Parts: sequence; C-alpha cells; structure tokens
Amino acid sequence: MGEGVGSCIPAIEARSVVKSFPGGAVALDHVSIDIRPNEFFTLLGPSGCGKTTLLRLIAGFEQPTAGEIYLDGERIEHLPPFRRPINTVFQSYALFPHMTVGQNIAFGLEMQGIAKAEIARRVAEMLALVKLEGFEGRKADQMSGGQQQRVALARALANKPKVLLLDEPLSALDLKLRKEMQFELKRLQTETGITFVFVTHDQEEALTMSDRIAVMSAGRVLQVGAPRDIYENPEHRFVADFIGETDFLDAMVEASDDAGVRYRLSSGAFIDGPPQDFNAGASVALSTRPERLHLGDAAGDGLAGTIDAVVYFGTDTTFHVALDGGAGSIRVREQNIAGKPFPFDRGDRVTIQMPRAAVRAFRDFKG
Amino acid sequence: MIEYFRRTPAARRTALVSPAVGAILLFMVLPLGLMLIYSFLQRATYGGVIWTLSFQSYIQFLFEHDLDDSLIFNSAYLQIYARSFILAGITTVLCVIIGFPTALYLVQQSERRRNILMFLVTIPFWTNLLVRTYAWILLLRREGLVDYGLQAVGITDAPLGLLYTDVANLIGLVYSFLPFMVLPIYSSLEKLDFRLVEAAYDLGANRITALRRIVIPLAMPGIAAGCILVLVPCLGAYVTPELLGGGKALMIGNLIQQQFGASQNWPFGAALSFALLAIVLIALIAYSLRFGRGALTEGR
Ligand SMILES: Nc1ncnc2c1ncn2[C@@H]1O[C@H](COP(=O)(O)OP(=O)(O)O)[C@@H](O)[C@H]1O
Ligand SMILES: [Mg+2]
Repeated sequence: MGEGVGSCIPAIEARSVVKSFPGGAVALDHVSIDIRPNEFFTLLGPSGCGKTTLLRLIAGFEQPTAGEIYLDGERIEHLPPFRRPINTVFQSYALFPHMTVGQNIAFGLEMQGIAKAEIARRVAEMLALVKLEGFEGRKADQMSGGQQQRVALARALANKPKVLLLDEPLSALDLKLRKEMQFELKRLQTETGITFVFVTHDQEEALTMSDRIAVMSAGRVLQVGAPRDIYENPEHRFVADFIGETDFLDAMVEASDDAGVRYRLSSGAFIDGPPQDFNAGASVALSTRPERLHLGDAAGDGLAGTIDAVVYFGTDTTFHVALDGGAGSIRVREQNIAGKPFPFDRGDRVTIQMPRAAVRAFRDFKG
Repeated sequence: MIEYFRRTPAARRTALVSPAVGAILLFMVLPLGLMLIYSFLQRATYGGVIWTLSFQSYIQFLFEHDLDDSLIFNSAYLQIYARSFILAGITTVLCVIIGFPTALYLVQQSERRRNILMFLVTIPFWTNLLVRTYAWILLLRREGLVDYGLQAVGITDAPLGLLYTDVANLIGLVYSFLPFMVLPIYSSLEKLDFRLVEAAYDLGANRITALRRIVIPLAMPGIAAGCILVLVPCLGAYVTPELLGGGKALMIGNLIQQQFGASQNWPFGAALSFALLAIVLIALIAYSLRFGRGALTEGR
C-alpha cells in the first residue's frame, strides 16, 4: 500500500541497446534489461559476448549506437561518465600508481569538492569497510592482488554511487582468495544497499552471488532470472549448456499432449518428459543434468548402457554411461556415502533412472 | 645480461667490458681531460697553448684588468651565460607547451596513423640542420614568406624584419629541438594505461582535472627527460644563433667558438666550456636526486 510507483522504477534500464564498432563488429544486439534498486545483478556469459561493452555503456565510456539507457527513470546516454552517479571497479583495478592507497580512495571525494576533514573521515571509514586499516600510506603497487582489489572497491564505494559496476573483479585472484572476496562482495552489497552490476564468465560465481542473472551470448541477452530459475528452467539450449553440467541427446518427439511428451532416441528407446510445446515428429535436443539421474543394475527399469568411465570427486562420483544402440553418452552423479562404495565399475552394464522432471528438450538448432 | 655478468669470472668480465670502457675513455674522457688541462694553461698569441700553469682563463671569466692592473668585476661573460640560459629556458618551455599536446595527440591515434605521424616527427633528423636553418632564413627575412603571408592575411601591414632578432633565434631553436621533447613524452605517454584516465572520469574528474591529476604526473619522467634533452644542447647551440640571431646576440656556443676562432684564446674557450659543463652537471645531479636513481636512463 505505502509503496509508491517509485519503487517500481528500475535502477538501470537498457532499452533495445545496440552497440556496433567501426569495422562492423556488433557487440550488443538489441539488449533490454531492467536492473532493480538494491539488487545484486549479474551479467553472465562467455568471453566476447558483450558484457564489458554493456558495462561501459552504463558507465558512459561508450555511446550506444541505438537504444536508450535510463538511471532511476532518467535517460543518461548524453551524460559524460563524470556526471553519472555510477562508479566502476575495473577488471585491471586501474589504481593510480603515483598515489597512495588513501589518495586513491580520496580522489573521487575531492572531485566532489568535499571538505578535507570529511574526506579524511570517509577514507578511514572506507578502509575499515574493506578491512585495510593502516594501509592508507602505502603506494598502490606495493599491495598484493587481493589488497589492490579491496582498494579499488573502497575507491569506487567512497562516492556512495547509486550503482556500482564490477567487471570480472575476481578473475585475477586465486581460488581461495576468490571465494573470500565473493563473500566480501556480497557482504558489502548488503551493508551499503547499493545496486551492484557484476560481470563474470564463471557460472558458479554467478549462481552463488546473484539476486538475478542475465545470461548473454553473442551480444544478446538470452534469459534473465533468479539463479534457481535459470538453473532449473533454462529457456535456451545455450543457457542449459552454459550453466551447470548438461548432456544432450538427439531425439524425435514421438507423442505430445497435456500429460507430457514422449521422446524417441536414435536407438529406438523411449524417454518420457514433462509437457512441452512440441508437435509429434519434431527433432529436438534432450538435456539431462547428471545430479538428477540415478544408476540401477542391469535388470532395472530405464535406459540401458555401459559404464565408460568412473570419476571420483570426493563428495560424489560421476559415471559416464554409453547408451545402448549408439544413442549417445550421458553422465550420472551419485553422492558418496562413507564406507559404502557403489557396486558399479567400468565396463558394467547398468540402467539409468530418469525422473520425468529431469528431462528438458530444446528445438534442435544450435545456439 | 646482468645475471650473466654476475656468474662470469672476473677476468672474463673485464675482457668483455673493456671495449666499451676503451671507447668511452678514448672518445669522451680523453678530449674532456685535454680541454680541462688547456683551461689551466696560458694562451699562445696565434692560437694553441703555452704549457705553463695559469688561472688566467677562469679569472678572465669574472674579472678584467683595470688600467692599473687591479682586477675589477666584469659581468659581460656572465651576461652571455644568463642570456643563453634564458633563451634555452624559454625554448624548453615553448617545446613543452607545443610538444606535450602533440605527443598526447600522437598516442591517441590508431597504430597505423601513429607510425606515419611519428615518421613525420623524425623527418627533420634526415636532413642537415644547416640546410634547415637556411630555409628559415628564407622564411623569416624581410619580405620573406612569413612577412608576405602575414601581410596578405592582413595581420600586419609592414614587414616585421624578424631575421637576426631574438625572436628568429627562438623560432629556430624551438624548431630544431622540438622532436627531442616530443619523443620522450610520447614514449612515457605510450606506456600510460588509458584505463587510468577512464577511472578518473568515472570518479568524477573532468578532462582538465584528469589531465592535471593523472596524465601529467604519470608523464612527468618523459617531460623531465625531454626538458633535459632540449635545455642542455640548447645552451650550447651554435648554428641557430649564428645564422638566425645574426651572431649579434651571442649565446655560449658562439662565445666559445669565437675563442677558438677569431680570438685565438684556446685556454679561455676551454674554461668557458668547463663552466658550462659544471653548471649542467650540477643541474643533472639535482634532477636525479629529485627523481631517483635511474630516472635519466630508464625514463621512468
Ligand atoms: N573498441 C572495440 N572495437 C571493436 N570491437 C570491440 C571493441 N570492444 C569490444 N569489441 C568487440 O565486441 C565484442 C564484445 O566484447 P566485450 O564486451 O569486451 O566482451 P566480454 O566482456 O563479454 O568478454 C567482442 O567481439 C569484441 O571483439
Ligand atoms: Mg570483458
């Protein structure tokens, strides 16, 4: 009731944004997204899909070839970067090498003409926020990668921007530090309440950190949704393939009605799935996720095959199964239970139990 | 390379560096030493020296003999030094003012364009300075192309007669030393990561502030190196003041040349050279103390 219309205005909105570069490269092809206030929003996609370009358009370093960009409902394409209440954490950190950590963090505040005493207070506050108290007088290049990362964060947050853009900020860190910083970033976002637009090509990072994810491919946004939504209901073959582990099988639609769809593999075996909008006779790509499937012994009910390889992961074991009749190969992941090894080994005949909900089909075109 | 020398036995190391050391001794230390010795000898009437120890040349730099043979202070030579420093200083400042924007423009061009433009900047090196200076005489002389052009456009209505003035001298000096300013600034700007400029914009800096706070400080080693490369040789410039300044307004280079030429006072010429060398050395030492060891050679 008390909620005004204002709360529905996106923090950032891109409408049919096109960006092409001289020489013909189209980096963004009619991209439209709404990013909500106070949201941890992630742009996810393989290298070269246009993530950085989209961030640079939002930051103001580049102009869109066509389309509109809004900040809190106001068009901003015409504003230079220094007039946008948006700050960026660069992939390379881009710390000023001739300045100390303190001077780096103070830079944006000085640009706003804030009084010296207030700047000193805010710098101290930022250093505390990123846990770098006492490093104020260090030169930026005397810091480790992880510390530089924190300085870059503090510098970008010092101005209290409405939106913080982060371009693959963790990609240069080693695994342990990356996990730590993922947690830190999430904490900072919750504590400051600032809208984060986070770019990554790492699907696991995107799933664990984001409120919502936009999956991008070749300059287009394929799907936007919460992590669970994206993972469980991928709308494109590309999304299913890119997020999580997925195996694909070529199949034909045998029959389709309100109760479900029956698919026929090239070997003649049948698989049943939940209802999807297909006509009988259509050729599709069936997708399955290893963790949704289970192994049964050769006499059991389900798709028959032979174990090709067994890969032990500690928490679980992945079985690679070659389906009978050359219908393809899929993986099944079983959780390991201490002291109770699986009774299956390489070369064993098995059946795969495939719950209907674990099956999802895509119209069979690539991409 | 350094690693290699560290692991090499001393004798071998000595053998390896000896050609370089020999060349330096032969071509630099020897002539300079000779000049130093000359400056403490007596002049011979028709050039050359008499091998007797004398401080006359250094005394002559600051004093002259009065009629009663007492020494009185004479600032004539100091004035020529001061003139030279002022002219060289103005030349350096003008070179920075013209050279920095030029270098900044160059580094922002596409690689192809940049290579072409850099080639154009270095073209003057391909021809003789004397020829280029004569070209300026044709341009600057009374009723020359510059006068003609200014009058045709209506900026002036009478010939300026720039040739053989300090202005002509300055134009010539800036013209001949500008590439030495552009090149080091260009190389330090080329190393500058332009994402830092974007970061400055991102944090609220406009173009001027980003230039002042980020670009210029990071290009400072190049600017300083350029200043040295212009200032030092400019102090000893000879051809330009002789031809464009008409040899009337002397600079140090012309004064020294006179001592070895017309005046036939070799010891005094040598002493004048050494006074200049001493001043320049002190300035360079001050510079490297300020910017740290290696600042001169590494262009940091
Ligand atoms: N300045 C540019 N000039 C020409 N092409 C560019 C430029 N910037 C990016 N591109 C092209 O646009 C596409 C998207 O690039 P980018 O946004 O950097 O992708 P990502 O960040 O997802 O890896 C790429 O094909 C890239 O080659
Ligand atoms: Mg990128």
